[in-house]
Amino acid sequence: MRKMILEETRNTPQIILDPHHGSFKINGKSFPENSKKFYEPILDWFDQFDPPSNVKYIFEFELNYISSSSIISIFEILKKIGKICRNGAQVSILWKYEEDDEDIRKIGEDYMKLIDIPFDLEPSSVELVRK
Amino acid sequence: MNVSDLKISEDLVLVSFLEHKDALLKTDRILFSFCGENTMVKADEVAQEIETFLLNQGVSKKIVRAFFSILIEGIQNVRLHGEPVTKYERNAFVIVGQKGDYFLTTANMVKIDQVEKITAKIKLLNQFNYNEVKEHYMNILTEGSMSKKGGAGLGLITLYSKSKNKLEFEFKPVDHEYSLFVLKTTLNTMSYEKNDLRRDA
Repeated sequence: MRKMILEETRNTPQIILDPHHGSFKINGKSFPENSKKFYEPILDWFDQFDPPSNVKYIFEFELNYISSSSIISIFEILKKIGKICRNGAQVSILWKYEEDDEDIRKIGEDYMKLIDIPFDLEPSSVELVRK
Repeated sequence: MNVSDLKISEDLVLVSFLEHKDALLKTDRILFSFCGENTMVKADEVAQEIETFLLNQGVSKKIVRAFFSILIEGIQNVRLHGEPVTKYERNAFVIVGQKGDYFLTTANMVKIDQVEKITAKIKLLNQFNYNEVKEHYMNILTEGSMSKKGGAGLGLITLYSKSKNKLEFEFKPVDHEYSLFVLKTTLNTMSYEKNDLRRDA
């Protein structure tokens, strides 16, 4: 499976999807003007990702701003991860947020309610809040 | 240029922009203003410049975050959902300012047949309390389908919930095809400060 690396820009996050090194991260700010267009190739990548069931994968999200349309796109990604999980792979989500950033924490909590996969919320420099 | 020098039929967008700006200049601080083609205004540039400015002014991070969100959603809305009508020299305006509270006024052209739909949407939102708006948000998130332009219908909800204020709006008929949609979002600074006080107590 090919890796996908996108550098962070002023309004899009850094994307690292690297199965070979077991590194899956989405970091930074997400407010592209056209969220659908930006996230489309990333969603395509997930469609082709078929991990073996004996390896544990952690998908890490560390965002400090998410626009409303990005909220929908990231939810689409989480649904794809959910599908991978239902197909038997060991996957989990790690949702990181700045300790005083209620908005990002709440977005994570909303996703946690809607997605049925292991989901950890991690405020920076504070203990993990586990589902 | 004096507002009264212009006939509305000649340039409604400019007249409306100047009316808003004139009224503001008396008591308010204008942080950014733009009047021209809707595709020319860039949400990320405006929002990031104002974010830096407010943080440098010592405004609390929580208020800056909420206002940043209002600027991104409001201005992206002008670019994405404003009709790029080229038969007029200008088809949109944006004013960011402060009159006690920070506010964003945007105006863009919409097709006349959209007026009723947008009016109903905003009137519905303006009635919602926190729980209702949250429920509405979660419904849209779970149903979430996106338009080709990448909009999902969460933009107005975000403006309403971040501002903690009712959205003010009006439509000004431009011609038989288009109407100018003017939307003012004012951040209820007090409610953010109250939350801080409650937490500190």
